[in-house]
Amino acid sequence: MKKRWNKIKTFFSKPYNVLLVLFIIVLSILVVIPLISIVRDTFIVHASEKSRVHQAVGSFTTYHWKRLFASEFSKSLLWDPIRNSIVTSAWACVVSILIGGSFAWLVSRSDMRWKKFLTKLFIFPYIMPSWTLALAWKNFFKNIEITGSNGIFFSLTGIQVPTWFAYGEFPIIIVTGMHYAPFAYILIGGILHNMDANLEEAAIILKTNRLRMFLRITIPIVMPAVLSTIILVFSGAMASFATPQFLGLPVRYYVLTTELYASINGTNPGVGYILAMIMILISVVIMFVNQRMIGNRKSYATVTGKSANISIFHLGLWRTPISIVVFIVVMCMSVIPMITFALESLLSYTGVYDFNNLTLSFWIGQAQGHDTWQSESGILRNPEVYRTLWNSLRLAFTCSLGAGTLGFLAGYCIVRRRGSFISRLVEDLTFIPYLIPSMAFSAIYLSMFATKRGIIPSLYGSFAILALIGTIKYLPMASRSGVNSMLQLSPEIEEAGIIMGVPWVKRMARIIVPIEKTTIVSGYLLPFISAMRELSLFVILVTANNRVLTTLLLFYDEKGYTQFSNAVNLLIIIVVLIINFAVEKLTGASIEKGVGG
Amino acid sequence: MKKFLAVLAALMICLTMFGCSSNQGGGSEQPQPTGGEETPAPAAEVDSATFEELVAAGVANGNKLTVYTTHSVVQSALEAFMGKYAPGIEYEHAQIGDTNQVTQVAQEVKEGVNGADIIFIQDGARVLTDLVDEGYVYNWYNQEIKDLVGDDCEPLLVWDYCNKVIMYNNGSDKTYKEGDITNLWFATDPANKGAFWMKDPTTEGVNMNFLVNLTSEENAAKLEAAYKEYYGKDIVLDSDCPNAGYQFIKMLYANEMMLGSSDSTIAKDIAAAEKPQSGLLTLNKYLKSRGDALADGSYALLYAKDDVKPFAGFIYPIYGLQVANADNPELAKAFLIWLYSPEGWYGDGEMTVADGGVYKGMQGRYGDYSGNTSNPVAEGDMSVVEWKKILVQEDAKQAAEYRADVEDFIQLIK
Repeated sequence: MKKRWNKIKTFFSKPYNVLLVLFIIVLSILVVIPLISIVRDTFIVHASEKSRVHQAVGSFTTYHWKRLFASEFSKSLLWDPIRNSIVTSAWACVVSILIGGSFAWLVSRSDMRWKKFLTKLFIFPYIMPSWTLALAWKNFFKNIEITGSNGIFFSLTGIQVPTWFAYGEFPIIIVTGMHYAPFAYILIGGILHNMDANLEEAAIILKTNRLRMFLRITIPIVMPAVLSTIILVFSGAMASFATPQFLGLPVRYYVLTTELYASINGTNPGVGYILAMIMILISVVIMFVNQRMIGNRKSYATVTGKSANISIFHLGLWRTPISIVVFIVVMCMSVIPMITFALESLLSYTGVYDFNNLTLSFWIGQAQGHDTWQSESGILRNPEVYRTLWNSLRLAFTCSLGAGTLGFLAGYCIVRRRGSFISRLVEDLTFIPYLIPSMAFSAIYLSMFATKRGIIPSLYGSFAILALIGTIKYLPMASRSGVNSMLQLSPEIEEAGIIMGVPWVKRMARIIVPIEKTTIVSGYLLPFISAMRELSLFVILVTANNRVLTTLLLFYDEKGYTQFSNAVNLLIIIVVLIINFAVEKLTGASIEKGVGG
Repeated sequence: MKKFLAVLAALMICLTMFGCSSNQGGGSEQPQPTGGEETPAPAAEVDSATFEELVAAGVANGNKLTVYTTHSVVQSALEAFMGKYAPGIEYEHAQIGDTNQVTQVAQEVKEGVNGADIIFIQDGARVLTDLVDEGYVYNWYNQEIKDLVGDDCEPLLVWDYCNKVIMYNNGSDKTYKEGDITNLWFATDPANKGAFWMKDPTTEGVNMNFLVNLTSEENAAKLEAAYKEYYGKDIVLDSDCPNAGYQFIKMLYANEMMLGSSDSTIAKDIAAAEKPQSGLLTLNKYLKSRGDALADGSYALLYAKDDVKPFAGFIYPIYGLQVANADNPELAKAFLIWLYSPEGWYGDGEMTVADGGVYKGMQGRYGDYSGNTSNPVAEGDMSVVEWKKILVQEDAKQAAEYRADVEDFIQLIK
């Protein structure tokens, strides 16, 4: 007995063991139990389902499962959206890898011009809210066949794009692919940049041609990063809501998220919860496939054998043309969308691109009355905008503090106990929120925390529920960053402190944190930016009392206040960019380090 | 990870069984709102409390008054009302869409969280099934309101009527001409393929209710007659269409009806279109677009009136309903009564709102009609009585009963 007690005492004398146990408890409450709660929701009758299920609210039913899997509705509710989700997500992976991977190669392995400038801009689509490119696409390629009016592209070129180009599967794929291209660039670029040049030099000595070198050396080396990108992009694209909503709805092209949204907001939320579970299942399957293919998902973008002498491919005569093409593509992805938002926010009347039609009224003007499109004050005069901006900032700050700190601590204890069951369990628990699509996750939290449970009061409509879900949802990013950074840190450094009798808190504060400072700040930056531009995670949980900028934007968009929604969109992007660059300048941390570890 | 997930799955199955079985015995999911059983029996006994008595009681109560509304004018109305009748009492208003409002009010009352005292909300079908039936909100009116509103007190009290009518572009030679649209079936005509718009009924309840109401026997019969008039032959129903209402919906979707996310955006797109385009939109958008036309001459929208068979669109109420766990129910009721008065509807030219401006209420607003029909409508607009003759009027009860059927039908054809 005493032996066992001593064992327990020894176990808990190590701070990382205490942390691991705490993580298991907290994550079980915040991740595992919510997962159980969603399963339960698929077997009960909700208030809005009474008239279709004909049973009492809250009673047991298998109606939702039968309806989804064994009824005439299966095709339109389940199989078509699944097919559409998989097709758009898979092709989005291809697009993002082609764009991001090519850009990564050009930046790290060629003598392309304006590299520094272009790499800064290339990250923009990731910083911007996911729907911004979708809105820009819509503004740009609007089609007379669909909307009756043409977009900016037609005004400039006189060319009318076909409907399939403006709406539906194709633009969803391209826009999602472009949004995630920075992921591919960061992950693949990290490997290309750190790649051991000796491999290629050996090939050159053996007179291997360029193509063979590319196929036999470069591709296999970047393959783990490509597969990591596939996971990230596929999961992200599957969970994407705003893009398919904006570009799919006009032609009635539904994916899982838009069908889920319609179900949860409609009269059959039970089906919505099953769709959420299916999305989680697909993510898990993808993760397993990835693990099988690369052996271990932990090898994300970490590579050894850094060579100081990477061979640079000289583009020769193609240098300038390629640089110009890349410049145009990058501008289309980053700067032009922002110009369109600025322009749209300055138009007195939408669709009239005329100098005389420009006004600052939607920024600083007073409300004009019911019979005009400006029935509210300009956004810089509107107290609601400032209130929601403040909410967004403090929410992003709280999520970043929570996820960043927990992620770093999780990384620390996972690495210190690497190989043990408890370490693997915590690592898996911290990764689960990544597999749960945002909208499904918030649906779970709604059913879970809207009700008083034990000592936890009802959090519905509170700031706390947003902070909580944001922290947990962004934990995988932060903990991945934490694990990767701790892996690079030799345990001997901390052991030296232990031998000298330095207490744990002081070891962390004086040794580990200072060494890992840049990566830790990056671990904070990523959740901050994600929370600032998040919509689908908060949209179901936000009430009028805790509205944030992105949901205000959606509110304006649904109201058709085009100028206001464009202005708020621009405001979000500007705030995020300012904070990103300020943090980067002050600490050297960056999004790239946050993603790449 | 595999082991872990296996354990997790087993745990989930066990707990799910537990969770569901506990519910069969009337578990915590059964809402137990404070006001559920206290809902006044409809029309059995009309409350005799007067406006003055309720204001006095509300001021004596002293608690904050919170209002949720789908309609923006209610916000400025509350500011004006509180400034004049209950200065010093705290108040709050929030504009929340109908779907979110249903969720929010249900959650707040269920959990006893302090939320709204009174709500102004559309989508009668969801309000009945999700809020009234569950006892989260209740229908209340006093004799003063009954005298003004009459039959529109039941089953849900109508504060304001809004209409969505067929609107079409008229900007140039390439668009529609006035009077071109004479029959609702034009939207199903292959000649207008992909040229008729509506805000997605799956995201806006009143639009779905309209489609449901079209399937009622009475409306379906009118549609059948109009079909013959438009196509010159008797309607032949498909096997999956029980009546002409269903057939209309099916043909509408088959004709690639365009779905938008906002009436305003649709109105702007239609107005700017360079080919014939039309849609079912709130009449308020007509006035806003008229402003566009004045600006550059290239925009124009017209709307259908009594020249369209069998309906030119639909009219739906915004209901004023009391929340079961209100903090200041007296003041909430007084505010509701006041909204029916000419002062509440149009202002008195002196009452001010929070930013210091004069309260103008519904002045100059097309497409809003008081439940009190003696309140005037905007100059140039028709009265609600006239509109009701040519529009489908929302039947909340019929919509609540058949909404699931029509949603399922659309799910298969969309």
